[in-house]
Amino acid sequence: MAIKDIEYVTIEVDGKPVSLRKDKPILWGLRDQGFDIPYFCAHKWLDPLGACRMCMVKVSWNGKPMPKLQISCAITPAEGMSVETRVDEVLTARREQLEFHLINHPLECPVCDKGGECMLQDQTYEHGCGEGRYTENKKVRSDRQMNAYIQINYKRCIHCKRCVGFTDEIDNSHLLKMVSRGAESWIESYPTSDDLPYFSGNVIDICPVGALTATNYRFTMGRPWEQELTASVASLDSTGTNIWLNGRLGHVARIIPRENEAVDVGMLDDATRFSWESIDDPSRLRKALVHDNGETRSVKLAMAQELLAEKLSAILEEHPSDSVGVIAGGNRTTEEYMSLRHFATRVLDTRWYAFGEDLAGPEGMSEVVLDALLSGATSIEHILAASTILTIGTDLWEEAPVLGLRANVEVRKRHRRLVNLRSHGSKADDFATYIDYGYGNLLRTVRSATNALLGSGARTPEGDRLADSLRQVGDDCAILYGSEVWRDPQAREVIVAIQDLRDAIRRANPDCAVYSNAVYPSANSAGALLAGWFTKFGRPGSGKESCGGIGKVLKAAADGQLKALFICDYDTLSRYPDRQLVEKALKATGLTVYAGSFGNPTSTHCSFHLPLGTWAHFDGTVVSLEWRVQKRRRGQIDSVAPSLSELVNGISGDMQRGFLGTTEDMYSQLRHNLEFWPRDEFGKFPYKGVLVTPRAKLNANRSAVSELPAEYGAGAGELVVIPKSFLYNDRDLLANSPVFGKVAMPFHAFMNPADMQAQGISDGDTVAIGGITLTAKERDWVRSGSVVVNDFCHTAPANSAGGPGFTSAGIKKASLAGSGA
Amino acid sequence: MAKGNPILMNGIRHECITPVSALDNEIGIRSLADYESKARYVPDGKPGGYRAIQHVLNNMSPEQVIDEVKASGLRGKGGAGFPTGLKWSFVPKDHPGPKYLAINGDEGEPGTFKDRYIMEDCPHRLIEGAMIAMHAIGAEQTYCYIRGEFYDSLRLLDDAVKECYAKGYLGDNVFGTGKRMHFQVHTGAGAYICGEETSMLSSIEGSRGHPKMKPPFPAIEGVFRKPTIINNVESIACAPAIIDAGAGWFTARGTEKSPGIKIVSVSGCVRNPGWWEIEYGTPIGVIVNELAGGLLPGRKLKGLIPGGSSCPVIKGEAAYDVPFDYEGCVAGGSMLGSAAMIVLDDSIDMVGVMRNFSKFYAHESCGKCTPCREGTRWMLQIHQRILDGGGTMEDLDLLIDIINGIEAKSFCPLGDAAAWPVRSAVERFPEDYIAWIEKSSRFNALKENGNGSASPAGSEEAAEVEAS
Ligand SMILES: Cc1cc2nc3c(=O)[nH]c(=O)nc-3n(C[C@H](O)[C@H](O)[C@H](O)COP(=O)(O)O)c2cc1C
Ligand code: SF4
Ligand code: SF4
Ligand code: FES
Repeated sequence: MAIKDIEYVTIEVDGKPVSLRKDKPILWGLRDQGFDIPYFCAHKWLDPLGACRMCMVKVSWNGKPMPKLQISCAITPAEGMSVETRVDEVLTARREQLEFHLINHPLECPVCDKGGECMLQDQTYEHGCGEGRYTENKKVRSDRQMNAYIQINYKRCIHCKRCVGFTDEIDNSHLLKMVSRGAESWIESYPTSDDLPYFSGNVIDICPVGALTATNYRFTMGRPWEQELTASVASLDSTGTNIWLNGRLGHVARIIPRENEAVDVGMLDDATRFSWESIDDPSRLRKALVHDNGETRSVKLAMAQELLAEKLSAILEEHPSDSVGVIAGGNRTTEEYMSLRHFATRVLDTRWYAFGEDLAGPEGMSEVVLDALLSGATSIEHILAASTILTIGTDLWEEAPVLGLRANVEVRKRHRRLVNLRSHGSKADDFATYIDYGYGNLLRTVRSATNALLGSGARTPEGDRLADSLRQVGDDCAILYGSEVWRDPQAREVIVAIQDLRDAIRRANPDCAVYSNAVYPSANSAGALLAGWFTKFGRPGSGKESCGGIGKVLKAAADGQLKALFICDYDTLSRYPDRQLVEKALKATGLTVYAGSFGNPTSTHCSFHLPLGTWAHFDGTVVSLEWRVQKRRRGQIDSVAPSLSELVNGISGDMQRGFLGTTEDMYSQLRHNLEFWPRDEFGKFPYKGVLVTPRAKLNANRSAVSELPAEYGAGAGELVVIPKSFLYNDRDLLANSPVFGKVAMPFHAFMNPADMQAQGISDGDTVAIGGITLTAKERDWVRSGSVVVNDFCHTAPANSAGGPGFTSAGIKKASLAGSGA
Repeated sequence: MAKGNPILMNGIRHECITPVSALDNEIGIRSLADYESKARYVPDGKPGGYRAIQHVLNNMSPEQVIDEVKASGLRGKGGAGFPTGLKWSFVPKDHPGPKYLAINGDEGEPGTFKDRYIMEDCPHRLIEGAMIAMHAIGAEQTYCYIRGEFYDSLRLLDDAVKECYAKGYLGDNVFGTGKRMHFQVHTGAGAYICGEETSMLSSIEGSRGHPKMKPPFPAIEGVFRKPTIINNVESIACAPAIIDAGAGWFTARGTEKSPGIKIVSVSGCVRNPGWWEIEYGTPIGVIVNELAGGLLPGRKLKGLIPGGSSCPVIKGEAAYDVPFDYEGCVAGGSMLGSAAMIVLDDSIDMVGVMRNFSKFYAHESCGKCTPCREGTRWMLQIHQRILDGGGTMEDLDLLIDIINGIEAKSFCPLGDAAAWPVRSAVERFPEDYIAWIEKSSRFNALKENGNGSASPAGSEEAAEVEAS
């Protein structure tokens, strides 16, 4: 499909020539150009509905007026058209329709949360008639909870049905429906008991009045005009969704979408939206904790810092280099990663530093893999415009929700093709071509598809099916790959094999553009890559190179090579796929330090727990999966804990090793080191971010491999355990938001009905998988022969599912023992 | 004239003449129905059932069928009077996937009772018509959407369809020609809006019966997003007659712009309510006085609605001279609509009639668009208040303002349908409203305060009221 040039046509509006997009209803273009046409039911995401009748204008064709007024939300411009927006007939019609809208509306703007940002309020002020003539009884109906997040106030509803349109057309959840008829009709919700809402919060934004409000916001967080808005970027996934972070009186008031038409078009996922409470969570760590001889002391950060500096200096005196391990988690800014790497390489003089959310598997990153990761990436706009979208081992809905949502909409509404190579079903199954590769056989399937496309080498039926679906991809094809690749023990090979597949698709479809983007496991994995956390990047001389992977760091620690382990914001115990290795590493290392905003299993295992501010507290850049560099800005909220840069600067100072540099310094270094980095100044960074094309001078000669690895499968009586990245995983940010306590998070063993029947397990039974017990849930999207569990959670650590000897990175058969509840 | 079942009207028992063709010929719709033995509607048997479709299948191309129907000038009988042959020609010929015929048997318009008799008395006529239409538009499937309350129509039409399948008239090999033609009867749940064509399609799809945006028009993208032709039961049932007797037979009857025959259903204050098949252009007086037996003794005509509750009321006996065809009714200040004549004599209070109409439309408004959803309810509330003794003179202006906000501004024509009759009542029969308002305590309280002015005709009239 590719992105097409936009066509314009000039029509006459109120006597003036106006140029408008040919493919869009005139309402949008005219409003953008300052014609104040009121509207309620139309929305840029939705098909025109024509329900509210506010947007009527007078239309003539070649001077001949049409007999009726026309709704501008539904007509597209064409040659010979002229439009009147301010003639009496139109103004009267607006007043009439507004009067109808208001007859049942309560006069409660002063206590309504929408007051100040309400379309009805604004438009009544602009176009209304000042007084009402309705003296009959108004309709009433009492408020009701629509799902865990949303409450409806029926009296305020103006029946525009935008909310229904969203749940039908956009997120396909069919959560909201209009029931009954005529003036008696109302909006009813039909939540499915098991599925969590993923995008429901968007209906709050698009409700033009205060009918739909957020349960954790209504009546408590003040009025919109009292809030200070900060342009920031969502922190739970690598889409780079833009948000407003609203602060009031030093606290977070809410998170709402900030429209960036190139990224999110104003959509936001529920997890990000409602996670704001965690930022101010009173249980968040504000002082340092020192665990000493089984005793925990809460001390001032400065004291803990001094103590730590002393201990680190002592270690370095004895073992001057490569004696400390440093691990960084994926939700910090690129500048923080720069500081921490300086701390690791300059102060601690170690090469044992690595990124928590692994990309390349236990053997670590190499230049060939890095090259494969960087090549072929494109923008979200191009991905969504592609005629074929191929996902490999990623459930976009969970791993990059807004991108996933937008892709689903494109596929359903604009008839794009979606091909999913996956290990279990997803929400896209209704409209996607999907190929089950059988968990553990990703490399085998990708290589075999390449072989099939090239017509040489060994093949498998799954590979053939994938190849068949890729023989005619249209103008362009966008490949997206994610969590199942990162978790594969052969991740390095898979990443490279995907590039081979990309070449093969291009060979099979001459003139076709083929892109490939990684869906990263965390919000700023890409930033960490650029800051040199995986392998050298950019100009030489920027310090000691990383050992290449967290697996190596942990192994070195477990082997007793490391004297200290410094872990930043990465719950290693819960999240690293091999829990036993982490336990060993922590036990074998004398000094363990955890720096992070929240307490978790790892922090309690460490001798020091130092507080950090959250993502919302500091300025800094993050890099998204489309390589868009964006700036997260500090919210108008009080912070009581330092940023990672401030913390390591402090420790370095206490160790008499000097100052590593401010955030701005780090930014300048990035700009200096990477020639593709945006040229903008830190203080004047563009609000919508800057798309970059990362290039690294790499020594990467890739040669296609066509051999297939052996087939992987479960033995008799066993099931393959598939760890899955859920949006609602037990992340610190979610676990500490009270509103999420009300939604049941899916820490379950999701099983195929046939398997459950065969094993005599019923829905809700407790099952043991290796070392953990989980509640069995019957789901038909799970493939028979496998069981899907969360890839991590605090309470039932899925990474210990295999019990002792769990060595491969995530693929594990486990015998299941069902025990009736 | 055969006598049929008596029906209840206004609480009085009326002898209802069962419908009989006023044209007294073999070809009109009614004349082929046969209560006693539907089985006689067989090829070559008397009176010639399924002759037309066999002729069509063996000798006529789809284009020829469409041309014949175009030549007959057949206009849709569902209300709008759109030329049927022209509508059929809108279906894209080279469309690859399936196409559908959807027959509208919702018959929700108050006052209309014609389609149910076709479905009950001569269902085979309808099925044959559907087959001709399917041939013409290249469809293999018909959905016939029947109003939820019509249990008998459903049962009888369904029996007839089963009979056709058993005999091989319908199925995968129609009359041995190898053509596929299927006929599915579908019931609604009793919503007037589901008679509107796009709502009907939504309802067939299993969705909520809300009207949809046009374009795309159903002929391009209809049920299940496939090209779909929608016709009223009566329009479809006319097709066999046109094929059998030729377009010329049709154009020889009626007027130039409204050729052919039409079933009119007459109800209200007449001696013999019922339905008749007439030629277009027959004066309304003939229908009321000769066919329906005239008014009750001593009564005078107060108003007449020619086309069902959605049409404006024509005032007084002038209505008798209006020719009953599309153009004549419009010239007479109303519309032909679904040809459901409602006769109102001088015992009838217009405010009460309009309260009932408003109640119907407020109940049947689907709720999609604001003016109709809110406006119909508001109109009902005002009428109710006037009847409850709470009216004021301002209410008449207010009603007209509300109607201005609904008319031509609602999403689908239901809003217009709700507004037109009330407008005609307020404008043509203001005396009925004023009579109620003068009795109202609110009005009198305002008057005592020297505040009872602002009648619709201006303050002089109010002054007169005060003086009297
Ligand atoms: C509110 C509304 C109700 C309608 N109800 C009916 C109905 O009950 N039966 C019918 O045949 N047409 C009804 N129509 C007209 C249909 O929309 C459509 O025009 C008709 O079925 C087309 O068939 P025709 O061309 O054969 O007349 C209704 C239209 C509106 C706007
Ligand atoms: S709840 Fe809001 S969005 Fe939904 S119909 Fe009512 S006013 Fe519109
Ligand atoms: S006019 Fe509007 S509310 Fe009334 S039936 Fe049509 S779409 Fe529904
Ligand atoms: S915005 Fe056009 S009808 Fe509602």
